[in-house]
Amino acid sequence: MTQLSKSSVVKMMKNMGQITMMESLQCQKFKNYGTVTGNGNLTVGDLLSRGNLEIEGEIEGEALVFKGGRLQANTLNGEKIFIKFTTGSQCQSIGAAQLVIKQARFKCHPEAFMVVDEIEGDQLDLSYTQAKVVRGGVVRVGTYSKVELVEYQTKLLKHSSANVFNCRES
Amino acid sequence: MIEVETELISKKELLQVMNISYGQLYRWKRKKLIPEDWFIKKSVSTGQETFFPRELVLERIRKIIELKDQVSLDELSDIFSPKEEEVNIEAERLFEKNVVTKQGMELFTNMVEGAVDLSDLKQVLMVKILDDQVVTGHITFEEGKLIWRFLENHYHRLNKEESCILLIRHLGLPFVVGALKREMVIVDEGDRVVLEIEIMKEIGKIKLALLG
Repeated sequence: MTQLSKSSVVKMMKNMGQITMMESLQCQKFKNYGTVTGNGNLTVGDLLSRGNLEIEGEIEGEALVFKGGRLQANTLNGEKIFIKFTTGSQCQSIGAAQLVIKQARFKCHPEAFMVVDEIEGDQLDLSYTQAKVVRGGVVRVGTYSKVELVEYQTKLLKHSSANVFNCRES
Repeated sequence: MIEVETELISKKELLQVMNISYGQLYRWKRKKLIPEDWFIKKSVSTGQETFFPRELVLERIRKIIELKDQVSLDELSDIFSPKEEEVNIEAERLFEKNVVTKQGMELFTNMVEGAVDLSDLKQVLMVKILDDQVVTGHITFEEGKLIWRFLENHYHRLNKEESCILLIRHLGLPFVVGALKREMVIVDEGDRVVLEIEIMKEIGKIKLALLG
């Protein structure tokens, strides 16, 4: 287990074990195949996480790709964010230009959802997502998603299995 | 934290008024063009919504939109965000780009009575203040000196987003006050705020002029 007790700046990082961040971590390229936990913010250029990422701060970067594992963070902020989760994951807010959330096809608990308070972005494609508010340009509320309020600018697409309680064009 | 009394604008309204997208706003936040402090979360009927200090954010975004085609986002980030490390400034370029004038420079040389080091951003800022205020006759040379003494001692603490320095006259006697936030300073009615310098804004102007 590695503990990062101070703010760290790294060019490239690959985690196959367990990292605990006590403060923020800045990294140009970060690959995570293990578990990252901690308090601080994670700022990356490109992130690929195939393991668990559970931090209390913000994760921000140009391209954030989560494939498998569990994701938990306060805020996700990225240009392109792709989330394919295998167990229940949660975030307080997500902001992105392009965002795709879906459930992994294999090795996934069928009742696992991505739970988010607020999602904002230009192009949103959400499956297996439970959100309070979704605001975006083009919004697709896909399979088994539940959203309390959708505010869209251009287009709203809704899958027959999705639940949108309120929606309005803004 | 921004004070509650400041007039706020919701994120949704901001995007509509400035005609920008969520992606752009978040990109600028990532590049530190819009400070973290300006994102104020408040509870509304639909949960939480983000608000911004209206004047500050509108002005900042107008500036970003105006400049984003001319300079890269990273350069813009240098202009707007406070950084410890100093930029490399050549004295000749300062005159070339009309950031400072020879007259302001002479005044400053007199003031510090000796070697002037224009690679120090703090000193360039001071020459600019002399240019803008003393040369134009708005404040006196002695008042300029007070500002320099203050800057010299406290610049490192004032190198923050919203900090400013105030030159106040109390019964005609000038004194200088530094504030990390302008609205936290209460000045008596009898005192006159002669000059208010928003440090980051002035430094931003200098960096911008040098880029152009």
